[in-house]
Amino acid sequence: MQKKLRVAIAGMGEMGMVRAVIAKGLSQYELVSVIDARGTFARLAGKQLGVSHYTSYAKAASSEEFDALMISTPFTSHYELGMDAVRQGKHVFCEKPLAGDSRKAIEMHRTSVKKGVMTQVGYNWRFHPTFSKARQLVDGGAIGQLKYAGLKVYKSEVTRPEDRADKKNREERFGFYGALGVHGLDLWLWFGGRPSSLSAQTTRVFSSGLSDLISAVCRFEKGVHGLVDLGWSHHGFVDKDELSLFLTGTAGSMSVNADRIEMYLEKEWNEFPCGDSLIYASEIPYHTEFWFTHRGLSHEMEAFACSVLQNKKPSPTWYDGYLVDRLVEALEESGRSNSVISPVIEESE
Amino acid sequence: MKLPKIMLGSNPFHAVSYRGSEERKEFRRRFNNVESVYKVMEHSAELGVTGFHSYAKDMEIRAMVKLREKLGDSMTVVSILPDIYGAMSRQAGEGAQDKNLAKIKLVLKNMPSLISAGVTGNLLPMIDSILKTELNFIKVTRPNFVLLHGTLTDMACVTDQKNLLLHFKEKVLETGAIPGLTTHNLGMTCGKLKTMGVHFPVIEAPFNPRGFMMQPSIERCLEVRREAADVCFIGKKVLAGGSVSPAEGLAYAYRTAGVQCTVIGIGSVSEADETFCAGKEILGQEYNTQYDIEAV
Repeated sequence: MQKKLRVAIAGMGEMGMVRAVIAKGLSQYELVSVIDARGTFARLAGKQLGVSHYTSYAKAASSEEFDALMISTPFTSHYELGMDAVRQGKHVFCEKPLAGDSRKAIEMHRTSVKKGVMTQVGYNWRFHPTFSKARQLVDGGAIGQLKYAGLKVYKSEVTRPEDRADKKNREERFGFYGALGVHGLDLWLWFGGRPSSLSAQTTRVFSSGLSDLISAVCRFEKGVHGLVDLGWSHHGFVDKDELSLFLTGTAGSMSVNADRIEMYLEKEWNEFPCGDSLIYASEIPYHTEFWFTHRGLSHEMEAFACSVLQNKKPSPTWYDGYLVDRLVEALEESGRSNSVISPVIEESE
Repeated sequence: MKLPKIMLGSNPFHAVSYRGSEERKEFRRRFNNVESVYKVMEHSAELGVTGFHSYAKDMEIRAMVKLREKLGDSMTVVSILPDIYGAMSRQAGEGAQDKNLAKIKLVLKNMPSLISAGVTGNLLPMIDSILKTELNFIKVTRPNFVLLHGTLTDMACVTDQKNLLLHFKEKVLETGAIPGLTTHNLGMTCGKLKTMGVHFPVIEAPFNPRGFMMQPSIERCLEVRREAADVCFIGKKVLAGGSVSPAEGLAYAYRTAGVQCTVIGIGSVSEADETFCAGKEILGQEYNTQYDIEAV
């Protein structure tokens, strides 16, 4: 009989419910409990999902046997919940951003390494067919040695004063970064590597905490450089978020978004001709036991279960989560001080 | 109730495209008034199409009413319920469409009925209220079939919500329409329906030669289709998000997958010509076939 990952999920908001439904649909998982500090949400979710429900992690951990915790609570509670769980030897999947604070994030990562548990952070765009395929192509050498990584993330979420961006800023939802920006930044680092220096310009259009518009140029450790252009106060991006990467190597370039990969190669590479190629997401095989709401989520959860059940290194790890948190701080710091920053990056261990 | 062999879908009318943001923007510009939606519907009807899908969106509803006035009972309307964000907005009493998503979520979070469902653990009163509003919203089109949205079907099936499915069925039957389901997880859905002992006479699911959105696998979806002899299948995503030609997609859906009906979203009059002419070529006499579906 297939071994299952016994999991509890903390946070029964929109994302937690999606995680729970997917866990019910994937045979690697056995959903044991749901946790939400709001009693009515916990009870409703527990009854609908046919599992026990608790109002705190401590209560769930003392009453139920489970191997892993999925944290889908607001990011401000990630540190406390994550630390509690790894200290008790639980494997932990945590939504993005990992902590929204690099000092907390690196502590979470190092504690998890010390305790020997598997941890993953919810940067699920890595599992989206186009971005996953692009990574395979780059790793395989399709565009040669990577030299440039550009990122654009545009959203129309805070476009009017009444959107009250300040209310859902750093404290509540990590501003634009929490809305989508960190997904883009994780992809940027995934391709570019660790940042060594950057210079940012940032603008608060309607927000009072974090920036609404962020532009920066960055040098990565392995010699790649790139531009980043982020914002949730651009107008007209109403039907789908705009998140795209532009990658240039010594043998070709590619632009990647959720819909497609457009590639130009200087010479033929495997099945791709010299010149232009176009790969739509709908043409990239993506099969899963249970698909729900977004492409990428099921594969992300399958990857976490496989890591734990087969003792494989997960990806993206909490260290990747730390890197994104650190990058956000560096972008904001550079924008505030109008200066070039060389962010100090902690080593993994 | 008659279910036609080939039907017009509505994705382009609400700016859904798998080709990219340029096409989505183009659809948004093109279908910003009832007349432009109606024009594609009317032209499809001139090409012999008698089946029309519709989401509970204001523009589509109004175009459908206009078409109903012209075609009367000779047309078949298949409604998909609910349009989730529209339904939330209507529940909150703030009108129909184009509400800021964040605002809707906020309203949802504070929805008294959700809190009440949390206390009792019983979702049905809330579902009932949503369904009542939504069925009332679409009744002007006189829908012949009402299908439960794929996200809700999949959620209900994977979490064994038999009561929810039966409630939906009952409420649709009360309107005189035939209830059905759409799903993005055909393999799981049909297995669960069997286990729960729930039958729906119509199921809509992706079928295309690329296997796009056919979960868990192409093979399993084809197997499920073969096994479920008492269900009329509507193939959707037939063109694999625009990756295959209408001729290739339709030939696969009807001949390889063996679905009875298909639905295809059309973004222009010329696309309607290409798609439905390909349909006529592949289906020949069968193009005008209509299946008699009975509520079980």
